[in-house]
Amino acid sequence: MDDNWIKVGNSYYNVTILKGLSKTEFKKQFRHLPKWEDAFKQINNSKKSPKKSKPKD
Amino acid sequence: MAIDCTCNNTLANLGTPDCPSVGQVAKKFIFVPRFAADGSVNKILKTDITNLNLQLKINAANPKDRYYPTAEFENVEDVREDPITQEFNSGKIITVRDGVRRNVGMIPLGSFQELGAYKSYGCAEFGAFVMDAGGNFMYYSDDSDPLYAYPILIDNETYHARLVKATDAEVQMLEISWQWKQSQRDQNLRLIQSDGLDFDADDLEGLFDADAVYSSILGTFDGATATITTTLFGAAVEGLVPADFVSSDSGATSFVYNVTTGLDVALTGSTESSAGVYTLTWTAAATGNEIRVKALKDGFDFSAMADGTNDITLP
Repeated sequence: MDDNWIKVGNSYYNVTILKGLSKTEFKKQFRHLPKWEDAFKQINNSKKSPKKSKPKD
Repeated sequence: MAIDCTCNNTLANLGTPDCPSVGQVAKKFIFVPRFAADGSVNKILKTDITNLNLQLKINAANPKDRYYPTAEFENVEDVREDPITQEFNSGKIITVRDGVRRNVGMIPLGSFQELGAYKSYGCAEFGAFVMDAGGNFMYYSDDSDPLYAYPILIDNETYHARLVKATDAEVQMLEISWQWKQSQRDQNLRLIQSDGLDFDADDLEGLFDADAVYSSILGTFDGATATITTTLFGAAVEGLVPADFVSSDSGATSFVYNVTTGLDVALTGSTESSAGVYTLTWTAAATGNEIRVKALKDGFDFSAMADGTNDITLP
């Protein structure tokens, strides 16, 4: 799979399209999947920018 | 002057190497349409006869460009009949023409469904490459085009496939027979020996036709559940991932096609909930729009999914 997709359980999610979707909208589309909440969290965690590392002394 | 002679014929030199290429009994045939999709004769550069290239040919999108490996054969007999001769009052006998070469072989445990597929081959011009018991690859060489391997042409009007039912002593089999075209001269047959190949007969498998049945086309999300099985055998097509679903229009991966708008629609999710059962979701499309789903994966021909007979109408 390319980086646009993540796998949660046995489901694939298109991160590029789904990132930023509200939880209500996400649930509407994926509530038939048992791990949809895990997928929602993972997709939106991936949105967080990485922590800046402290400059070395 | 005998047949196969020209006016300026001289006797050919008869030197023979210590280990000449000698064919063994045929085990598998690779059927090839005579003409490709662009109208040219199907042929392949001898240097291109590799596993990678043959897999590309087997999975070619256009059926006219595709190679069709058969199941493994047993008891193959490929015999040229005695030549047709004319005897004169003096007792002199002159050969009028070569006898026809007839090939007959059995596919052990061949199924009823396979019989239908094999029967269809009598309807079009085609030829065959041959994999023999020694793993050698046999082809036809055209003297005027020596860089290429040609399939050995089959007289499709003589082609026949039939079921041989099981007995107390024998398993069910398919008997496949044909005559090679009279134009195909035995002296033009050539071999690529097994030690020069990176594949064997077991690496070459024909495609399975596959199609989908749709259910759970719900308005609560834009998507549907597709049950994808092989057409003849009903076996689940497992392991498809989003990139295996393609727009039937542009071929873009991870897309379906909106027939109504003429636009590709991106997949948002894909779940294989059980073997061959996929829940697909895509970006929103309007009620009443028709969505066409197509898959693409080596070993399968999914063209029936996109033939327009089972497009999904969104509720």
